[in-house]
Amino acid sequence: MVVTFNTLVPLYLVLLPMLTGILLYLFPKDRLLIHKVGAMVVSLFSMIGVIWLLPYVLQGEIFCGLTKFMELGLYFSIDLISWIFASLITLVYFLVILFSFSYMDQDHNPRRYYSFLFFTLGAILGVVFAGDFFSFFIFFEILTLSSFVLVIHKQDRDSLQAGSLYLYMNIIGGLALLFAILLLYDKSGHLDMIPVLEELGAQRLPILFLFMICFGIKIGLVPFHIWAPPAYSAAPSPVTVVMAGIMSKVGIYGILRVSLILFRPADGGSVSDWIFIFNSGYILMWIGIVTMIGGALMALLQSNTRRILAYSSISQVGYIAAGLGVAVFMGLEGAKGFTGALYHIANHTVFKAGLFTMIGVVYLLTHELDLSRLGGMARKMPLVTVTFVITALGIAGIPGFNGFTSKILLHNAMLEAYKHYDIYGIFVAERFFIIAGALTICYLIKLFKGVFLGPVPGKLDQDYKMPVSASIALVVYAILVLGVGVLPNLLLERLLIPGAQLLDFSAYNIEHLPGFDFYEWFPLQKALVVVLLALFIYMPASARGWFDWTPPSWLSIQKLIFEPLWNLVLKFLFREINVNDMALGQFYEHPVKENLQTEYLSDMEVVQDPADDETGQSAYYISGKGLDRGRHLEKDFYCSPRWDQCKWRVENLGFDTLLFAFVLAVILFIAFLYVN
Amino acid sequence: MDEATAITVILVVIFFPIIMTPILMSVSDRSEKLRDILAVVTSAITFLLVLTLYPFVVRGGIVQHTFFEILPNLEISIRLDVLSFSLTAIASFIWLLSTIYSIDYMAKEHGGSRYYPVLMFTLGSCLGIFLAGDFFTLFVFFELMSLISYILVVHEETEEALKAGYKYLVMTIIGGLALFFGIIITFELGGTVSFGVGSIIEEGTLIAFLAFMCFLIGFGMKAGMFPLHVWLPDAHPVAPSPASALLSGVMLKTGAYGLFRVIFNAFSIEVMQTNNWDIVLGVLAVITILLGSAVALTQNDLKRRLAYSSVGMMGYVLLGLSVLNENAIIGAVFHIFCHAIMKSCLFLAAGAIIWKTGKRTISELGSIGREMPFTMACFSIAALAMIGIPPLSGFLSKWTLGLGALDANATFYVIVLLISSLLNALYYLPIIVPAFFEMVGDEEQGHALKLSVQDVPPKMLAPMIILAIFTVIFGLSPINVPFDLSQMTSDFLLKGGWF
Repeated sequence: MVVTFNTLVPLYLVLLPMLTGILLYLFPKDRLLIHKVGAMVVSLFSMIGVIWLLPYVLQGEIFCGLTKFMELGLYFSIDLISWIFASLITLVYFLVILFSFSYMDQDHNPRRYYSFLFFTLGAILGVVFAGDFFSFFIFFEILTLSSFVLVIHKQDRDSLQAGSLYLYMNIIGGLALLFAILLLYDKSGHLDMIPVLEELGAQRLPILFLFMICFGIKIGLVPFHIWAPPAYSAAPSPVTVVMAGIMSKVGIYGILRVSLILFRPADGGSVSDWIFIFNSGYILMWIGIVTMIGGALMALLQSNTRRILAYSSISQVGYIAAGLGVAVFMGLEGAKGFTGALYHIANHTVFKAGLFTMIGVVYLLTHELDLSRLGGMARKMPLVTVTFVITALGIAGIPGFNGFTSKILLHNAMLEAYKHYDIYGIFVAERFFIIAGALTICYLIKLFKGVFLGPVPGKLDQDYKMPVSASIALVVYAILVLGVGVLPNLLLERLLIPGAQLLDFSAYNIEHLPGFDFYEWFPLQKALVVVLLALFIYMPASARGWFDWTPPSWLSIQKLIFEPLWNLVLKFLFREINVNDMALGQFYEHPVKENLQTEYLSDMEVVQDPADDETGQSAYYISGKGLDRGRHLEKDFYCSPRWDQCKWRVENLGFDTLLFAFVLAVILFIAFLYVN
Repeated sequence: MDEATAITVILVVIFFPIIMTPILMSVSDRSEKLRDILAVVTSAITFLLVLTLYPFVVRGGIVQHTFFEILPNLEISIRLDVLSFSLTAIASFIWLLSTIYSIDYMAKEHGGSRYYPVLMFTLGSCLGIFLAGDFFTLFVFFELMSLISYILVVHEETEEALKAGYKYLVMTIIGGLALFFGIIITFELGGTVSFGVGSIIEEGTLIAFLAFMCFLIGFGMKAGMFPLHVWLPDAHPVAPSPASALLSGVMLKTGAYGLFRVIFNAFSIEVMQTNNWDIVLGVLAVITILLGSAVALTQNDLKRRLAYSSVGMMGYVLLGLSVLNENAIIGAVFHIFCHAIMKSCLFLAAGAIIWKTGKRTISELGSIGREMPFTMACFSIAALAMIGIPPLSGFLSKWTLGLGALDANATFYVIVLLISSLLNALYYLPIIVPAFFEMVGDEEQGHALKLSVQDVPPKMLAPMIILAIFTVIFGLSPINVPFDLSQMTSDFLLKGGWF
């Protein structure tokens, strides 16, 4: 029995950070303490507010609607799935604020930073609380704009360039979303997040495609990931934490809502519906696989710490997309894939935010991002090293840490799907999954070795004072990683399985999940295989220096696909349009090409000598001389053969004008005949 | 308010500004301050009088009153219905703000004693167009407005302005002749040109098509429709900025208004659709939208870019007119409101920048937001609304137009709208983003750069801020008067548009 609680709390939770953002901007710039305290209190308050909702969402959903808003209404509804996202978001935001206290002491314009950070929080909460796709779209667009300001916070050339790529790609995504919801509204007559697959008819494929473009851009699925690496390396460290930990989840949330709720048959569904669902899920899984392998390979080849993590983020989101894909194409039996994906969302939020924070702390203290200029930080920053190791073991999927649990669930779901359908492609996908796991370990080793091991470069050989608030955040991340790893079933049984029960998965399928034994021989064996494979890849490759290879710039997707496309549009299409427009303008131009007045004025300018201004009589002199010269010119001009060309004569009219006059005359003649 | 009072109010609304013209002229020799005040008072009174008509119109009241006949059945008459009222209200509102803005703006310029009388005369004739009761009266006011506004276009008297003005004049005369020809044909075929009789021409013969094409040339020329838009990007930028705001924000709409009247009063939706004339309009609208947006992208002069953007935006209205169903008409009328507000705001802000710094080219506008934060904030809000970012008003009109196109199964139109939105983003954001975020000088210097606010005086700032606030309110507010008016207009027009 689903209970609906009608309350304005979701609206307050969204408005509170937004209004805080505006308020913080109104306080004077030099009162940073106000901003810090305000940021702390409000982020804590949002976190508590969201957690306070837990008992309600476990019983049902929280709903509120402003029906008169923009003619379509603004609706919020929070169910358990939204709640899981919202709680992760507010938790990480609180930790980001802690990190920002340390980071922003060194950067410029903290007032704008805090202000837009909170505005972004409001927009993100709005997206995950949205009760229909219209509200979703509104907050999605606001999120794009406000996060843009965060990305370009440094305001140097690189960040502005990276920022505009980020902005334009996200605007394209937003327009795709707008198109999708327009089509959806046209077909189904509403924008609620309920199953509507039967009503969509032939439009289902375009709508799904448009949704996927939008969310693919937001989370950086291949080939829409091109904005991510430059934007991650240009943004300030706390913002990279927000982008990797939180904003990519917004896109995932969209995919989840669309593919697992919207694109489901309302009752039963016909065979063709289920075939469509299977195909879309299967393709989504493969996009996820390509993204996880591609991201991991690219991460291996980077030498910038943030870029490694950016590609790692792309790769890990590929895991989630693959899991969702499995959940979709398994139809009613996709509960395991879904819980695995949801679990990985939670884990990824924690460990990726953690890793970015740790790299951010290293950057904060050393101002270095390049692996070749870093090293030996293990001795200088023991706390960062310990927490980094714990978090990295989490992302690598080592038993006892959080990544292991979700990866095992995802892997299990894939094996189950293979058993169920016996399609060879799924088996291949499962192998790729293992390889991606191994590659993940490889780039983590590379990152760890580059930053923390080896000799300390001379320039960096000094004592570092760890910022207190950032240290607290680091410890919290490490505890979360360990906690989930040690008690894997707690989160699964309390939150994720009730979350899965909200969808249309069969009860039989969900009953299997509680008490899933993570620490039996089979999963551990898989983890061991992954580690061995990783060592097998890493050792020879690093000995031969393969990881230092930089791919030629033409090989990137940007150079291969997007730039030629853009050049085609800009150089060809727009130039053609412009040339035509100019030709059209000339068509109506004065048929007498040269203008007497033009001649006059240009000669007057020649006469004026700046030196004349020195003398008192300059004005008089110029006017007299100009007049003389003008008269002279006039006489010359009327006597010259050019005057003949300028007079209103038929032979002086341009061909275009004659043609125009002719057409007009014909029309008038025909009309005259008719009227009579 | 009964009908007789309404007629009086309408007459006053049209002729009060025209009567004030000579008074302003004589006053301006004696005191410039008095002249400014009188001009603002005139437009304010006009606006308030228009507002008094609101209850009458909302109740469904319609005025159709004939004063006298020039020839049998060729009348001089006035008309007020919800469509006229919508345009009259927005026109007089923008005019008031623009006049207020002019006070400080024109203090720096020459020829104020010519500018204000002409401005008021144009106001009267523009409202005359919207309140005319038949095509002939409309034509008279249309020509008056077009010719008088020539003086506004060439106000700067530079070579460029004179050239643009010449182009404008030639095109206006061509358009006027075509319009007159269309009216003659309509009169010949239907025996009347009044708006009060429903559709005048009910059969789509060739000669009727000729009339339609003549109307299309006449009004389309004014609205900046595709092959006839060439005067617009020359004439709008050279005028003084408050006048550009009016040219782009209000006077373009007279063309769109004329097309509304042509489609619903001279012909009817059935005539349009059975003879596929709506496709003619649709093709022209699509080309107008794409061309306006694409060419705007390559302009480097700020006001020229805005002028081309106007071309594209009027294409939206034409698109709504070619689709001709409920949502599309709501979208078209609401877009007239939105575009009037947004584009005037943009032109006023551009004018403020030019007035303060003398910078016209977009590449020079880096970090202008530090000097003039309020102006640029207004500019940004209006530009974001143009792109169609929710919850600003521009989004609502795009959404409604898109729904209308989908109702008519014209997915292609939606794609055009979205491409145009993307192009809008591509030409507006490169103005906004550097204005706020570009560093001047090297990095260290840039970080140390203090916010040095040197914004324009409040009389110029206030109109922009009001317009920017309305851009937000007309998107967000639960009581959305323009949208309700658009809905009423749509109902009214779909029921025939004359009783």
